[in-house]
Amino acid sequence: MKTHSISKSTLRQVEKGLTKANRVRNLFAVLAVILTTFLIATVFSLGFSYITNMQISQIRQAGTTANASLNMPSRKQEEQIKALDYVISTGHQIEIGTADQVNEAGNPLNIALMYCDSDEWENHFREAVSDIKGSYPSATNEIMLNMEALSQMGISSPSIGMEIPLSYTDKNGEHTDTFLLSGWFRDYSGAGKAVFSEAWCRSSGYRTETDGILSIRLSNPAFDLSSLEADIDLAEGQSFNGIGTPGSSSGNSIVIIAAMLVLFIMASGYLLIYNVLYISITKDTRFYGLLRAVGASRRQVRSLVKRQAFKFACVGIPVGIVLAALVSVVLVPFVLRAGYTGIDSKTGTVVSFQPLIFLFSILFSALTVWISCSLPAKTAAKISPTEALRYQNFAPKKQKSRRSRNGGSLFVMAFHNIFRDKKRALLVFLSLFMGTVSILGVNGVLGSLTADKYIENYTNYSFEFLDDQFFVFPGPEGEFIPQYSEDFVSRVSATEGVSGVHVSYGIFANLEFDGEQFSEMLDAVYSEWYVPADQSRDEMMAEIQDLIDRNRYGTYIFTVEDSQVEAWNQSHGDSIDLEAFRRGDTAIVSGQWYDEELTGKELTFTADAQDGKPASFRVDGYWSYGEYRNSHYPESRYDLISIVAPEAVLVSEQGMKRLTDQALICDIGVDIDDPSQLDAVDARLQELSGTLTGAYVDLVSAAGQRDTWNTFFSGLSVLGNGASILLILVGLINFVNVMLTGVIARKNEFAIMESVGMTKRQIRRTLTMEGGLYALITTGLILTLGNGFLLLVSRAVPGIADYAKFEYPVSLVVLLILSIFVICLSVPPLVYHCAARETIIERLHSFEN
Amino acid sequence: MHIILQAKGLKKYYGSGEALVRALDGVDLEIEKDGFTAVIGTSGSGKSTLLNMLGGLDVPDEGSVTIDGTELSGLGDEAATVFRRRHIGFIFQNYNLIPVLNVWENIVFPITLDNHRPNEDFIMRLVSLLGLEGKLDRLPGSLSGGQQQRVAIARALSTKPSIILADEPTGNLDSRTSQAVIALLKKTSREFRQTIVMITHDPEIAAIADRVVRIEDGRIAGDTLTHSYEQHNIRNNSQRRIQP
Repeated sequence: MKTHSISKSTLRQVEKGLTKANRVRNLFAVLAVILTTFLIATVFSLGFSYITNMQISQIRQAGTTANASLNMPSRKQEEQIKALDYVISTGHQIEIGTADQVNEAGNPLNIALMYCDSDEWENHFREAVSDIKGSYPSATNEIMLNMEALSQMGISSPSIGMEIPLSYTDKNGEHTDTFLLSGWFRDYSGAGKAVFSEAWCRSSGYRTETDGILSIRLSNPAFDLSSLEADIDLAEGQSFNGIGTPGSSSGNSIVIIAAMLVLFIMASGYLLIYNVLYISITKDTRFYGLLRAVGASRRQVRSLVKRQAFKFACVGIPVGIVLAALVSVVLVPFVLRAGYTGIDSKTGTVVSFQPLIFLFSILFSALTVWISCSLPAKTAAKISPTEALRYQNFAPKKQKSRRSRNGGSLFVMAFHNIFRDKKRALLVFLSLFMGTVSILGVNGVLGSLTADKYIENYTNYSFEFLDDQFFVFPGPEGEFIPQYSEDFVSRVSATEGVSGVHVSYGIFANLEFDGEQFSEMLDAVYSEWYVPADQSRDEMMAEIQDLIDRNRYGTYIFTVEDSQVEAWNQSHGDSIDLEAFRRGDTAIVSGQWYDEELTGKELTFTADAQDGKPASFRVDGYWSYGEYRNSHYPESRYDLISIVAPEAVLVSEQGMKRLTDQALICDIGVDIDDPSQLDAVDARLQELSGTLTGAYVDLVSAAGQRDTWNTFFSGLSVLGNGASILLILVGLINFVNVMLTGVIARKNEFAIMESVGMTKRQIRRTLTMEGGLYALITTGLILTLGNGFLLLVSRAVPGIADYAKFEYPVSLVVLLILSIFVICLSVPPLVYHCAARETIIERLHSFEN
Repeated sequence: MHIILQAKGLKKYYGSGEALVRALDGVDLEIEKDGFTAVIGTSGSGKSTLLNMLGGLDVPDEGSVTIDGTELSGLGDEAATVFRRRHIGFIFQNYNLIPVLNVWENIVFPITLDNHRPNEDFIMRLVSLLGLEGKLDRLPGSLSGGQQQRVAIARALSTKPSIILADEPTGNLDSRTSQAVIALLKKTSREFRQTIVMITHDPEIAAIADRVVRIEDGRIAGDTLTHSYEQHNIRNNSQRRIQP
């Protein structure tokens, strides 16, 4: 039978009437849409800003946007590379040589001389530097410097056209010329740079085919050089090299976190909007039944509800977007800048504004509204005219009976009320639980990634001067060059605010190979670590012999202070004989591989000293890499020498003297009295450090570490904390919304109860118990499932960063549970107080009508 | 003659000026103990307003209601609710049962609110008298209108109140069910010696009462004793004579 449906214009009128009659509902629905849109757009905006900052930071660290390079490229190769569809741009660079003069303080300059062609400068270089003043040199006598070079030369106020006298060495030999400064720029490599013009290169005989490097920018940042190698024929001695870090995993995790947040916000937004519409439909059930009775088809009723939702979206989404735009333009940059406290941080910050994220936000919000109204629309369309007349809000629909005799007691009633509408209960538990657990998770991760933990992990002292030659194993090509003098140590010691100085000496020493003594270690190495499985033990031994023959079999010897050994003994039960150690008879091996096997053995070293006299030490203990952090351990070493010889050997100063008197100062640890003076002392030591010219000088300061940490993690922290606040907000709104709609929908039921003698106080008590039970069950969920989740988080934390230490957020858990109780206990009676202002008769009548 | 309920000069006005509605305009009424009084009147005559005033669900602009020696207007909101629970049984046109409680729980609900244990013998007598034996676990939504109203009657009687106020208890029922429900109401009230004030617009049902009070435009327009009243009195007197 064909249903007779009512006309479109009639339906529009009905829709207008419905919209007018439900002003409060409209307000709530529009607010829900605004909130959802705002939250989604804010998360997108924060996430996007963070990722942009990360990318800029990576490009600036790499010093170029290029991902790969090829030395001495031929014209044919260049053409082939340019033609590849995954190559965005190419450019040429020539490394000319180094500056060869001393500054006024008498320290040699550390400035690299180079040339970039216009493609390289425009496509790869400009994005990686900032504050460009002037222009790229064009005349033969023009030069452009970076700020580090200016600083080394002692030029504090540069000007275009100023004369720059420079002694340098290039492939043609040593020269001294005076150049004119054509410009300067800030880069983030930390090294001095001077760039020359094309005219200069041509006149000096430099050619890209013979001296140049071709830089290549690929379309996929997670580049794979093998595809380049497969596509281009290389000449002998040529190879593609990767530049910078391929695709950041930190950026990826931000994308995942942001995606999860957006999903959670969409789910919450869905629940909010759905709830408002659902309540409105249960309220207007009779109306929808009547519509059906007078001939509206199901489709018409469905579209009636959806049209109302569409109107909410039309108002709510633009408002939400405008709010989010305000926040993105004003607040996000402010927060990000505030987060990046280190003004001199190595890579700087840039705040970006992307209209695309608002387009995405609109799409996601519209999708949320669409999904939210679908089910209520279906429900409204399903209402039959006869059912509508008998409809009672919240009446158990399917259940016909229940065997119970105590359902009227207040507590049991409160309990039943919770699970009366299971969807509603699930919504409250889900929103409270998810909100709380997300906050705990985010805070757990952020709490494990604090600047303090970073500093504690990476620095043994407030400041540490390191000699970076000791990071390369086994030392730099050629001789070790002293980076610090005893005089410098005294100057550090005399610096205002410095309370103590700890000097450590180091040297590379050859180790006398003793196959018998080392057999246990070598067995362990061969069976557990030696990866090339088809290689025999003899082949491994041959490799070791090769190291011995080349004088490369050995290790670093460092001095440690007695106090460090005493501290070790205190926590390890006097395992080291302090006296023997002090005398220099014994040594301690330290590392992360198989060095423990050497305990008790006798090791004989020959330092590369003038006398070359060997000295033997009995190994009295093993300090693992995890337990004792030496600033000179490279992050992670898997080379053969670090496996088959101890990574480091620690001796006393006396021990070092037995070996050599040529040891270098490799580490100056600086303590300060007053932590509040950190920045002041930092400035003084930076100044002092500025007088040093050694290429391997490295000042690690807690302040600098904090800045480095801030550069990389403050964005994450802003995002995480922002997300936490949003989650709390969404969780609370969901709870209040459910309580509000729950109490309002049961208004008539409370009126009935009052009419037969239940006092308002008893109703409030029941509602308080209901809230208390919500809180109790949520607490139970947090303490069981929530803690399970935190356990997973705690296991994942060490994977985020090596210094990350998870700490159970006890105070936060207690605070959140307390807050949940306060809110759950107070909101329901408060809502009832507001809802039950009319007289019983008025409330009973409003239900009857 | 024991007067259980006394209303004096009850007035309730809504609106003002030309739109003034005198829902009750100086009603004086006395109700005898154990009597069955029907209040009749046309729609909008003020009979429901009167009943709500008598039960303390609404507050008069002027006048007073005294039940069993307690003046309702002197009680606060909480105390009035407790008084209603203990001394007044309500029966509503649309039953007003609590949808989440089963039949038994609905019946004993007012007793539970007082933290008292229900007298099971008494409740079971009510249940069997009202024919609800097999339905104690059922939820209201699964019962017919007549069954729901019988549950409401049982609930009204469960606390052995001083008076039962019924607001068109058969308004939503068909005539056969209505007759059956009223017969049961009368039977139980006789059995438990309850005073009943019932609003109805059905003359046939009103005829079952001992006394019929007619309300028109917020005033009492008639007050007559019915044939049932005489029979009721004869029986009461004979019972008194038999008692030692």
